[in-house]
Amino acid sequence: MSLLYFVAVPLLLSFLTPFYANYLRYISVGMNIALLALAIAFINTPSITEYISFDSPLSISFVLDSASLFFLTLFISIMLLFSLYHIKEESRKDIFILTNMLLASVLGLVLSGDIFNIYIFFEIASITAYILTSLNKDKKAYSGAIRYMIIGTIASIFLLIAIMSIYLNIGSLNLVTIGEQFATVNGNIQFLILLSLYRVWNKS
Amino acid sequence: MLSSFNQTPFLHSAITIGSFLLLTIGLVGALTQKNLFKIFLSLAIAEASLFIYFIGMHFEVGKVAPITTNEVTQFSSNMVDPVPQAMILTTIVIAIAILSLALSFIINYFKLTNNMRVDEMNELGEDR
Repeated sequence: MSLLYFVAVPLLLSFLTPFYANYLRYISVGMNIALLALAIAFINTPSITEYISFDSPLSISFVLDSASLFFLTLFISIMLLFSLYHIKEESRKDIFILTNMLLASVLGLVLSGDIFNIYIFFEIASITAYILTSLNKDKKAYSGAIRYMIIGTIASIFLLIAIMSIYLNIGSLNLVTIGEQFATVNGNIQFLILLSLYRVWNKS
Repeated sequence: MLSSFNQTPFLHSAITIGSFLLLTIGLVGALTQKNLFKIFLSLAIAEASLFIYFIGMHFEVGKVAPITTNEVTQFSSNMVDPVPQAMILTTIVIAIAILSLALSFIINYFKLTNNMRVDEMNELGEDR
């Protein structure tokens, strides 16, 4: 099985489900159970690195080791509990479009082995979280969503600064190469990168 | 005299100083302005400075764009690095999406409360 299914299936379902709004909850619960079974099937396998669409230095890579498998199972089971909790509510059917997209982006964030893909999935998760914050459509919801957006945009600017400094000094976006060559970078620039990443960690 | 302006180190230092000034303008504006529109405008300026910096630091005088045409038939060493340009193109799209979402939130908030100042947003229950 390809690792791409963890990202592709929730993303595809979240764009398809508006046409089947009455069955949305059952589709979400079924998808979560299927993804959980798929994640459990990967236990006891050695760590997998999967290159998508090109050869090694140019490609996007997905990495599955034991740590990312742990977080994968954690996120999928939390989302399964969430959709089981909301299965009785008739009023908020459309929430599952957003939660499926949030699940897809968070799974991609865990699996990705490429620091720019991490930025992209981080932004998708942020956009979905902003819309989920403003879901009540009253004064409080919009006020909270606007504050969250200000903080999140500043954090994404600092994450972009860190990624740019890494690419300018190391010349690669792959996480393994960055980990090997980070000690050879000038100390001040290491401090700048870690300070920017600390700002992002503070937000989330 | 004028040809010294067209050298790679001069261009890199000019781009560094200019984009750092733009980043400072953006972040200071986001921290000091009270209008919600102006805050998000300042954040857009700060992101644009990063785009200028990243594209400009990978430009060198005499290199061409990484596109194959009739004259340039294969990728060679006199092309600039294509990875930053692809990255910045993606980042511009994400920045526009976030900015439009923020504008829709601000418009809806203004319709509900007739208020657009960030220091008078006290719906979440803080005392002023």
